[in-house]
Order: sequence, then structure tokens, then C-alpha cells
Amino acid sequence: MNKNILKNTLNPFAYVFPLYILFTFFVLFAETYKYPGIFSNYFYIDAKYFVYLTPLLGLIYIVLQRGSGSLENILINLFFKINRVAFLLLFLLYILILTLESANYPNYIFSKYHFHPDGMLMILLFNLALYLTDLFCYEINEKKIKPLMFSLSKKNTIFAFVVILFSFYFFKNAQFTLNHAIASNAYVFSHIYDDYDSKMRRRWGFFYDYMKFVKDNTPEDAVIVIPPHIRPWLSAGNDSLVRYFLYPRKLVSGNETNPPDRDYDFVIVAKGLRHVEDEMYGWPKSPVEASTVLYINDDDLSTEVIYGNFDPVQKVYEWGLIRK
Amino acid sequence: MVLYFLISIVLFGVGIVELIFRKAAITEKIVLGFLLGNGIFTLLLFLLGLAGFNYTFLNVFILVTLIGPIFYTTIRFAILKSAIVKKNGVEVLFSQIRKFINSLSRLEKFIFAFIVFILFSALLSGFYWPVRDWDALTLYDFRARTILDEGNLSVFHLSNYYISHPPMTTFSHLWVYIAAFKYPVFIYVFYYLSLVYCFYRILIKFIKRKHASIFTLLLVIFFPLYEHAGIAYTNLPYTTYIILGLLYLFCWVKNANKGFLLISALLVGLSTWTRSTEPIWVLALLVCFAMALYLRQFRLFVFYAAAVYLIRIPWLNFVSNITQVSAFTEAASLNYPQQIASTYNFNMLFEVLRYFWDNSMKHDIVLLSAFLISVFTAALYSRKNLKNILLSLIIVLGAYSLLLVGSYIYRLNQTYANWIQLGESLRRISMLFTPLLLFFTAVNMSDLKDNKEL
Repeated sequence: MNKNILKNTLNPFAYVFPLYILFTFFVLFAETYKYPGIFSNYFYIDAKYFVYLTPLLGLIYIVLQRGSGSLENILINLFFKINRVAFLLLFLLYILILTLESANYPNYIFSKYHFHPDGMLMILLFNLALYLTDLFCYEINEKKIKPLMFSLSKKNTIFAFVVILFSFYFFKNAQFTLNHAIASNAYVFSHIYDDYDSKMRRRWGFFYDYMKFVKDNTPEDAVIVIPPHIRPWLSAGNDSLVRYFLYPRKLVSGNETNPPDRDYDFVIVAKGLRHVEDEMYGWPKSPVEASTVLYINDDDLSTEVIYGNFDPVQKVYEWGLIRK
Repeated sequence: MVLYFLISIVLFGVGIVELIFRKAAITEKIVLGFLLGNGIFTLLLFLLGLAGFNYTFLNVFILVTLIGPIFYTTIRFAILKSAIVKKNGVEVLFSQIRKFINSLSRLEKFIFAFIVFILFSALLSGFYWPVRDWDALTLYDFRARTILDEGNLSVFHLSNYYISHPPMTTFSHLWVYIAAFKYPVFIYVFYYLSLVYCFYRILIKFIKRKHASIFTLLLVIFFPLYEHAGIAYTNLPYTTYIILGLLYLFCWVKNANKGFLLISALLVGLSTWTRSTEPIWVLALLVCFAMALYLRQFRLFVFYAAAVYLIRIPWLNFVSNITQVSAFTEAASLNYPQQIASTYNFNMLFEVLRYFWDNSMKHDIVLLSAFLISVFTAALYSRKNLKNILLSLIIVLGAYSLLLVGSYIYRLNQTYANWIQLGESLRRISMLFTPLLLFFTAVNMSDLKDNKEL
């Protein structure tokens, strides 16, 4: 037994997989502390490929593993044992981090604790990759298949290549699915008492509040002129979208530059939400005859009534409602 | 109340499954019960609406009670002549579950725990979020809310936009709202759960349980599918119906059990009730036709086509009546080969091929490569299973080809500006390829595993 350990200590292959594990952890921790992508900036290799390669290297390790007393096996088994505990702890820690982020504000974790949660996700995925390799090794050992029975046969080569493809596919998707699953759970638990309005506001932002404002200030049989369906009014000018919030009110699409020229009761005042040159924001662009103009502030949702005609040059706020 | 509606709809579906597919396991019956129950119930709501049915709470409650508990009880007692719940049935079920869990290896336990975590996350989101995505608000949910307010189908006459897609998901939202529940997104999670579960159940008919669990994990981890479990679009229900329809059809080809054929027919038909523009249902008909000819049982194809068309035709006729245009009917589609031939243009074809590659095939390249490797290797070394290998190739490449041809026809009928914006839509439709590729790669690879020539 001691002779074997001594012999394998001098075998460079004994250290490949353990060193690879240490190196990958180092790179991923560096990316978490500094910023994700730092490794590719210097070495032109995305760090996530180390995670994708783990099952392949694990497979090679399984194929080439020596007897149970080898130093490589001792080191690897030690890493796997530590990883089993670390995976669970890291998983719970990641849930906690995302919950804190959801309960506060975006970028809270980085601003307070100075590390990137995205980087932590890659560490978690690497833990997962090692844990899966550990489980596969256990399965192989359960069957008590002697390592020397493995060879580079055609079947094994084909299977190995397919394993690489599936590994790439698995981790590429796991990155998004796992993150989305954990983040969405974290958000739900930290906002469990949110009402319908808060949830819609989360998705639509001020546009939802604006639609509520228009709905609350117009009767159901009103005819409302909305902006044309072009940038920057792709939301406020989309009659199908606006109709969802304002039905059964009738909607009429206005012209980009001229004042509304049809029978109507109200006209939307909309800045626009899609990116354009500064001078293109704002609608209507011409004065409109009105009895009142009700404005809404998109910062604090306060409102203000102005009596008289609408003048685009003298708007109080960028959003509002013109009453004929 | 929403629980009562849901259980009744599932019972309705289970009743149908009991009639045509008795040998299925109880859990498979429940899952198929949801798929068939919800699909056929929504179709029924639509047909009744055409006949003047008023969508009030009382009317829908009576309807749900008739088709749910009463229909199911009638099926069990009068037709099947068996008890609703067998003596000690629940005990037996729990002991089977316990036995199943105890038989799992460490790897399988981890895989199932991981899958359960992902499915639980999807379920949590499904019950939490309201309908909030763009197309859902502008079309599917708007129709549901308007039908709820007006009590009739007048919304379909508002503009052609509101008849651009069949209303399966609209009526799904409607019964949830009638049941006084504000968040219908959970239905899409149930479609996701159904797809995952049935994928696993069908796969274990062909490969070992451990390998099936690995491939099911690969399906669950596929992000677009998971993401769509929380989005009230038609893509996930459509994917569920058409994929399971094709997989049950494959089971029939392998097994010749008519139950698989009938289930497949209903699922493929319901896929057209969910989305009517994608032509993948044609592939199912072609495969059934070829197999029926091979078995010299052409009547099976007639039954299959009749089931698909019975579900497909009502909506198409309704749209034709409103638009007075036959573009949506099969008659118009017979013009497609002539249209393609007369407007053949190499530049346009190249443009469509590149568009199709960028928005569909490129995203599947990894799985497509694994699938093709499994096909060629199995074909070289596993000649006794050539029929299965050929069928897997026909189904996968057939689906890609039909979608490519559909994209080309769509390009012919649209301006470039309109057409090029639909890349995102094609990406959503293309998520149906992943379950197909995973399934057939798994089946082909399992043929190789025991091959002594390799």
C-alpha cells in the first residue's frame, strides 16, 4: 500500500483533477470578488467553460482511476466529501443572498458586501458539477466495475463525446434556470403580501400607474385619443395594449404632429417610453383645445389640474390627460 | 371554488382517458386527464358560446359539475362497472410511492430532488404572478376578461387581431376568473408539469429508469420551457400537446396499443385548438398514415384524422365566417406548393434559411448534434432497430422541415419589415424541438448501450 502511494505521488496525472478543481475555484472566487468576466479579459477564455468541462474531466478520472489506495483517489474523495457539504451550504447561502437583494434594491449585495452574486452562481454550478461527478463515481463503484475494464473503445468514445455535448447543454441552461428559480422564489418570499397593483407595477413600472390614472379619470363610455403606434410611444400608442387597461373605453389613434381631428372626449398626454432623440419625446406636439388638463408626475404620482387649453411648450409634467 | 373547477375538469379528462386508455397508470391518467380535460372543456365552452351560452357563474358551475363529477361517476359505474376508488386503493398508492422512493439510487434521489425543486419554483411563481406579459394582455387575457364582462363571444368581432389565435388559453383564463380566482398563470405550470411527467413516463417504456431520470432532468433544466411556465402565452401548452401527441404516436408505432393512438389523436387535435398556424400536426397525420398503410389498417388513420379534424374544424370555420376569407381553411393550404413553385427565388430562400438558422436551429445545435450522432451510430451498429431510428429521423427532420416551409410561406405573404420582427416568435415555437431531440437521442443511445459490436 505504501509503495503504491509513493509510486503514485510521483505520477503527475495524480494531481491533474485535484489541481483543476482548485484552479477553477480560485478563478470563480476571483470573478465573484472582482467582476464576472475578469478571467476572459486577461486570458480570452470564459471561466464558465471550466464548469462545462468538469463532467468530461470527471469521466476521464473515472476511466483512468487507479486502485482505491492511490493518492489521487484519496485527494479526490476528500474534495468530494467537502463538496457535498459545501454544495448544500452554498445553495442556502445563494438563496439568502438573492432574498436580501429582492427585499432591498437591485445591486444591494454588491454595494453593501462588495461581491457579485452572478459570480456566486458560477461557484454554485461548479459545486453542482462536482457533486454530479461524485454521484456518478459512486454509481460506478456501486457496480464494482474494475477500472481496468474501461478503455477507449468506440462505444466509450461516442458516449464521452455525447456526455460533453449534454454537459455543455446542461450547464448553459442550468445557469439561467437555477438562477431564475432561486431568484423568483426569493422575490416571492420577500414580497408575499404584495397586491395585484404592486405585482403589475413590478412588470410595467410607471406605465401601469399611468393606465390606472387614465382609467380612474375617464368614464367607461369615453372616447380617448392615444398617440400613434411609433417610437417612442410603442406602449401608449399600442391600442391593443392600452385597450386591456381601459376597456370598454373607445380608443382612437392620433397623428404624430397634427392635433386630434375626430370626435373625442379625452386625449392622452404621453412622453413616450422607448429610446429616441430627446426632441422626439412628448405627445401631442401641437396645442389642443381643452377644458382641463390633468397632469401626473411619473416620480411620485402626484397630480395637478390646469384649466384651459393644452400647450405642449408649457406642460407641467410629461404625462397627463386632456379633457375636451 | 377554483379547486372544485380544476378537480372537475381533471375528472372529466380522466373519464375520457378511462374510456380509451385503461391500461395507463393512475398518475398518468390524472396528468392526461388534466390535458384532455382542460383542452376539451375549453372547446366545449367555445361551442356552447356559439350556440348562445351565457358565461355566468351559475351556468359554468352547472356545466363543470355535469362534465366533472357526474360524467366521471357515470363512466366508472355504468360503463366500466367499477368503484370510483378501489378498496385500499389509497393505501396501495402510498405504498407504491414509498417503494418507488426506497428503490431510488443516490443519483436518482438527487435528480428527482432537483427536478422537484425546479417544479416547485415554477408552481410558486404560477400561483403568485398575475397575467402580465405583452401578448397575454393584448390578446389571450383581454379576450377572457371581455367574455367575462360581456357574457358572450362578441370580443371576436372587435377586430381580426382577436381571431388570430384559437382561444384555448383564453377560455382557460375564463373559467379561472369565473371561479373567482385572479391568477390563472398556474394553468401553464400544470402544462409544464404534465409535459415533464408524461415525457418521463413515456421514456421509461423504452429505456432504464435511471437513464430516463437523467434525460428528464435535461428537459426540466431547459430554460425556455421553464420560463414559459410563468408566461401566459400559447407556446408551452402547444408544445405540451404536440410533443406528447407525437410521443404517444411513437408508442403506438412500437407497441400497436390502440390506446396510444387515440390519446395521440386527441393531443394533436388539441394542439391545433391551442395554435392553428404551425403545421406540425400534419407530420403526425403523415406518420399515422404511413403506419396504417404498413399495418394494412387504414381505418385507424381515418379515426385518427377524424379526431384531429373534429377538434380543428370548429375554430377554422368560425374564423372563416367572420373574415369571409378561406385563407385559414385546408382549401387555401392546397395552393401552397403552387405558390412556392411560382415564386421560387434563391435570394429569398437563402434569406429564410439564414433566418431559420438564427432563430431556431442555432439554439438547438448541441442537442441536434447529439441526436445525429445517436442516429448515425445506431444505424451503423444496431440494425435490428432501424425502423425506430428511421422513425426518429423522420419525426425530427420532418418537424424542422415543416416549420421551415411554414417560415418560407409566411415570408412570401408578408413584407420583409413585418416578417423579420417575428424571430422571437419563431424562437418560442422552436422550443418544441428540445423534448423531441432529448427523447429520441435517449431511445437511440439505449439501443447502443448493450450493443456488443461497439
